[in-house]
Amino acid sequence: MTGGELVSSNNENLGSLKVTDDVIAIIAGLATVEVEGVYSMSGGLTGGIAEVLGIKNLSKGIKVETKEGNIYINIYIIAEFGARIPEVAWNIQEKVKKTVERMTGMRVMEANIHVQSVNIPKE
Amino acid sequence: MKKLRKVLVFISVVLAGVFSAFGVYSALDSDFLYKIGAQINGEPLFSGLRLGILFISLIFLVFVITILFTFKNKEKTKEAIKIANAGGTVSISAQTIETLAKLEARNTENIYDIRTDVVDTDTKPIVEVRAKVPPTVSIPAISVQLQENIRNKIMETTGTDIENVRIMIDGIIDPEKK
Repeated sequence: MTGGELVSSNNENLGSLKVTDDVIAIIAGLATVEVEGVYSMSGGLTGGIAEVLGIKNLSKGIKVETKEGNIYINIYIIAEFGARIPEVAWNIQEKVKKTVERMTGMRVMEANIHVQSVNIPKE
Repeated sequence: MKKLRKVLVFISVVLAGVFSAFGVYSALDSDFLYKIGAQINGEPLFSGLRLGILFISLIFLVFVITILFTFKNKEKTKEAIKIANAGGTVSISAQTIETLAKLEARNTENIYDIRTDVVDTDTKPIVEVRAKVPPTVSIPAISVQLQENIRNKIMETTGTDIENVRIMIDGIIDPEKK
């Protein structure tokens, strides 16, 4: 697993800090599901199989890439029916950016939202 | 090129399916196995060899189903609308547009048996709707209403306009019998 690396700038003698992509994905995933208008994360076939098997995947629907200390996140969601997608997407981007930057100290360059589907309300 | 890829994948999947069925059959039918190989000849039905073949065949079958499912899903989740903003990009899949169109069509009176599809264009997506109507309605009037409803709903939800909505009424239905 590759990971973004953040080295303490105040005291380099202390050592280094590495935040893995998995951790960033979990932070982003938890922030995303809190946004109004997000029905669930869209994890594809493997995510679905894991869910059926009872494995809770907190990073479901999140792909993280770190390049030179900057983070690029792809977020795959299923939107609530009736939600305004551009607004929901903007709220996710803001929330994920703030949360990840606050928790990791790394910069989120892009948070790309992929709306895979909308939740079909029960009749 | 895209069509060729689809045809090749289809042929591969069919071949894989045939091999899977062959494997399952050869594991279950002793006569079939007898003719196939001397090594398997005389093996009891639940021998390790047969169960092994059955196991491998089932794995292969699951693999084929997975390929089919993934291929179908990829088609559905391909992006139809892409909007760039300060935080990155927002992509909306064809399936999202299809579902919105379907749900909106369901809310339109006198429209039944609705099937939706999204056609990719270089600029904006086109929504295709196939449906059935009762024998008493004016099809042009109901189509205009449906086109407006779908277009407005997609505009309201995604913030983006679509190219157009193509309607095909492919049947007459009696709603009372349905």
